[in-house]
Amino acid sequence: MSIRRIFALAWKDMVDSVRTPRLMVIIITPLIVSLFIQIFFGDKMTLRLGFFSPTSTQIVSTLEQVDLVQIEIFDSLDNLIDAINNKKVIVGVVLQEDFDRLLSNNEFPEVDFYLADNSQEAQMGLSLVQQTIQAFSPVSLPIKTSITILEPDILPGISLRGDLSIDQYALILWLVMGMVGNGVMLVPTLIVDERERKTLDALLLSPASYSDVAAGKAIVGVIYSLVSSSLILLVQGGIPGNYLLLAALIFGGSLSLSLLGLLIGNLAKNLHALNSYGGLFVFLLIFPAVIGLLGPNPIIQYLQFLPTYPIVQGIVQIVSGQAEKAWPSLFMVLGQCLLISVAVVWSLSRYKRK
Amino acid sequence: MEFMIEAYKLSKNYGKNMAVCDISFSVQKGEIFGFLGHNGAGKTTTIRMLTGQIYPTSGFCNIAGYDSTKEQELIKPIIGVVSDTQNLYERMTGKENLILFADLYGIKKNRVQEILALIQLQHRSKEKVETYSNGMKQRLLIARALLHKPEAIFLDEPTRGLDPTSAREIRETLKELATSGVTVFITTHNMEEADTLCQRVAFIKKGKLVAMDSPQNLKIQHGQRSLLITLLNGDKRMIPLFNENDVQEAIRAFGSGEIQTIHSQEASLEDVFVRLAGNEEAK
Repeated sequence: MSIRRIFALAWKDMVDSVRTPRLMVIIITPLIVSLFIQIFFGDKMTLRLGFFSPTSTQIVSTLEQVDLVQIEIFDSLDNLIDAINNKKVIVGVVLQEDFDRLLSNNEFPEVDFYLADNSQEAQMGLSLVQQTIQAFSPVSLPIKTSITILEPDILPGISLRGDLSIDQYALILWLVMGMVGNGVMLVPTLIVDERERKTLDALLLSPASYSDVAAGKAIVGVIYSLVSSSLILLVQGGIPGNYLLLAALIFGGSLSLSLLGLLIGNLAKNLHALNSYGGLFVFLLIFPAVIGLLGPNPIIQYLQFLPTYPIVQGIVQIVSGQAEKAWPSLFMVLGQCLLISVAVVWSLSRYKRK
Repeated sequence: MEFMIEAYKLSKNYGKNMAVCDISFSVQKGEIFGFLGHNGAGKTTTIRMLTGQIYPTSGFCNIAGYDSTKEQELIKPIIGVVSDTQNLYERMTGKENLILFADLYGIKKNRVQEILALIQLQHRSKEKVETYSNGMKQRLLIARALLHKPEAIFLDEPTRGLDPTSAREIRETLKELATSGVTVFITTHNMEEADTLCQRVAFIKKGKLVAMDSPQNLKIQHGQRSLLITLLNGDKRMIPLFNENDVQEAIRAFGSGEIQTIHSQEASLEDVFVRLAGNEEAK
């Protein structure tokens, strides 16, 4: 293998793929989707809370400082209920008079919650207010609570893992989609395309070996994954948590998925077969980022065998502020890079002259 | 005599299908050698074995003394190959295509300009290959094969589908190459092209060599040798030229003063090909 030749081939593939519309679609789709969601639905991700409190309270001023929370104060319970019914606010909170004093004296003040519906957003709003109140009291259940759901039939059931916000969920999903798209769709397409157009024959008649060609394509997958991930992070508002560890995890994830793409490309007979089965691979691989991030469910245990599972787990831990727990995931990702490399070497040996 | 290409008892089987069977030949340095046969006769398979792209089932082949099978890395810098498909990167420019291969061979970039000038593609070198005509693409393929100054070039039907002008330009380029000492191994369906271009040709039929010699010798050996004389009164006479008596008869006819026209009835290479390899798809 020659570094000079590998980079010449990688450069060729990078230029060729950005000029090929169907490959360009694979590269930019996660970014475009993330940008689209951010632009058109970004504001809908904010938690709209309404308060009715006869006396001023530190709970409201504290919540006002939380990102993505919008607070409106109402002068009567009726007005608050109207606003909830009109979906101007998603959670209404009615505090007992002199709430702050009763709370600090551990006198268990009453709080009535009115949820617009059973949606994820309403559940998160409820949870956020409860956690904020809890932060001002040393006792574990400092308030008497009543919860009323005004339209209980809407969106029952689905909930995110407790340590994730919707934005974090979306960020992880786009990152994984970017890595999977570039690794498992772009890389094998580059290989199979080269075989079908017979340009591979021309390359192999030059001093380049098949390993050079394959390595060049893996590099393209990793580079485009990294570029895509960086842009997604930028669109989603910067790098959360331990950025060095996150970068290492994204690099490891991109590498392992690009190697997996090489394996698929070496084994796929033609572009038709790749297009037929490629979608299935992508679907399976982004599953941990879709299902694995939701609340407890029986499917999760079956996802652990997918190469994207440790990538998702690691990123979840980093973005939810538990970076120290992400190290095992990073090691697992690096381990699977090694394992897939062995499979790639085996698949390369199948491509000897006949 | 220095041989650039040697094949000895070369065979290739695909399962029970015998693509090439026991063929032996050698090509001298600087020679233009034509390898002629119908579709599926084994021409491309032979080129692929000679250039080390596939292993022969039996026999061996050498390029400049290197075993094509075992020493492929050593023959790569010596050979250039123009395959029967236009396997170029269509969305890249002509120049980018050549620069990629210059990088792979470790050649300086100014060689790219040189070769573009040689094939007269400088003016379109910054345009994408997908906008090129067939002839331009074929010239670019030849340029790619010549980029590293190979000692032998293999061309699989390089003029197929080209207009007469482009085909002639390519033939001129090949003649110049041979003059400069490059060995040219060419497969073609075009018998006229083979006749004018090649110093020697070999006919392959169903994987077996059926004849190999210079086009002139093949025509003499396998063609009809006679003169067609048209007399002033409109009569036509065919005089065979097989022995001394035939020649004397021809001389007598010349001296009679009754001749209007004389035509040589030498066979064309196509006639010889049809006779030896059958008439399937002969051109």
